[in-house]
Amino acid sequence: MTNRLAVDLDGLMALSARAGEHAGHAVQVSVPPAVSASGQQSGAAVAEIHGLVSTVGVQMSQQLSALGAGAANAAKSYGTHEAQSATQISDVLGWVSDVGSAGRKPC
Amino acid sequence: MLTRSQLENWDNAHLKQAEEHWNTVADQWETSHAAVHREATHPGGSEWFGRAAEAAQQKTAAYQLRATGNAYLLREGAMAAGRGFERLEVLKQDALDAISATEAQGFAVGEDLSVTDATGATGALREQRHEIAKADAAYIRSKVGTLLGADAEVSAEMRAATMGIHALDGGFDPQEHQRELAKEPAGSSNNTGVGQQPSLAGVHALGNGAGPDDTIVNNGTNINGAVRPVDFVKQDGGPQPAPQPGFIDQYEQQLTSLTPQAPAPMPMPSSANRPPNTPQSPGPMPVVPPPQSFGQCVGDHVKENVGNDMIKDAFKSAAEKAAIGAAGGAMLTPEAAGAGALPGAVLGWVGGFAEGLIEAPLEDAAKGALECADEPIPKLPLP
Repeated sequence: MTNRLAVDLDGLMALSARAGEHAGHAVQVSVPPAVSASGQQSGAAVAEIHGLVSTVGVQMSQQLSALGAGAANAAKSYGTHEAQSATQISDVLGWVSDVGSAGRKPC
Repeated sequence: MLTRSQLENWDNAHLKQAEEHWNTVADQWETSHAAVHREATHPGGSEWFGRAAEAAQQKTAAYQLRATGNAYLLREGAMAAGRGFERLEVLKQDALDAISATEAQGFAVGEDLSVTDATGATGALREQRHEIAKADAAYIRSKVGTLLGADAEVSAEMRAATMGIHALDGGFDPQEHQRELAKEPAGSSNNTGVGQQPSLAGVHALGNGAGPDDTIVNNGTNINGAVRPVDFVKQDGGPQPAPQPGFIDQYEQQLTSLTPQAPAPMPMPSSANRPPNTPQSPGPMPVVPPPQSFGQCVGDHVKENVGNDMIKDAFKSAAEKAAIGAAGGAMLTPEAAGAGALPGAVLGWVGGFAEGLIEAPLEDAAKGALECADEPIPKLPLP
């Protein structure tokens, strides 16, 4: 179990780093160039699609960031629960389902 | 209609820039998610396994699938922009060439694209050039109209190509999500030992694709309440397109569907001067007796003959075996004047009778098989 936990821990940390790195790239590349074709319908369409691309790019970046943050957090908690039972470990892995639940009070 | 200066300043560079930018973004979307998924499979180059690995790989695979679909659509939009750039450049040049050709004939083209004679001709020549000026003005305006129409078509093509782009799980509204988070008490913690997050923005987008191994440790908040699909909305005042299932949804559905798709109908060749279609009532269906199988045929033969043949063969076989038994018994007891003939005959009759009973069904089956094999295979009657 210890070896397996170590592998999972390393994997989560590596995934966290990689996701965070690409989240930054996704935002950076999503910034569109200025559209100077005023009055042209194709200019308006390009501007709209630029907006869509930026929005989705930011969302994807946030999702990757959340994945990285969740992985880092799960790795941290994984280490805390290293000697605990598999059931508790699987609870920690709830980050995959909803990292946002962390820090909230259960109903 | 454009003015002359608007035509001369018409710039299609935004389409070229969009093509390049969208292709770059598409590449980035794909490579980022592919790298993250690869990392989830082989973090640091070593194989990662376990429940965390399975959950993470499932999630990153879903991310990658959606990112690939988005990238495909964005590249389609980029191609539409690139094609539009080439097309609009040609049409713009056509309109400018029409103006140049008109001016080369001694006409003046105004800001409103009107054409007037600049030679100062009089009399009949003036009337003639006036007619030419009107025709040239109509020609120039038609060229400009073609350019404007193509511009609208390029816009529609780009919008249609990129309409299905959206974030994971139908997307979400980051601002709405932040408002939801703001309602939560700060500093509270759950019972899992999971600490505070560096950033919670966007994390609910992870929620809808939970796999069987995932254990949801949330507090019961309906995460879908903070999710709103990011739909493409036309903003030019035109009619809104009817909602269609997105390409990515169909793509994913096809990948995950177990139901085989019906083949597309074959297009029928069209022909001119086709006679009017007159429906004909179908004739009566031919009555075709069901073909009898080989096994049924043999079985019928056996049932039909086995009773008679069993008795007949039993007596025949018994008589033969009794004669043989009697002869054998007499040969074995010559000193007793053939006293063994009688028991030999009895034993031979009994054995022969039994043998006949057993062999009769087998012989009937073999005969039936031969006769059934000779019968022709039943066919449908010819019309």
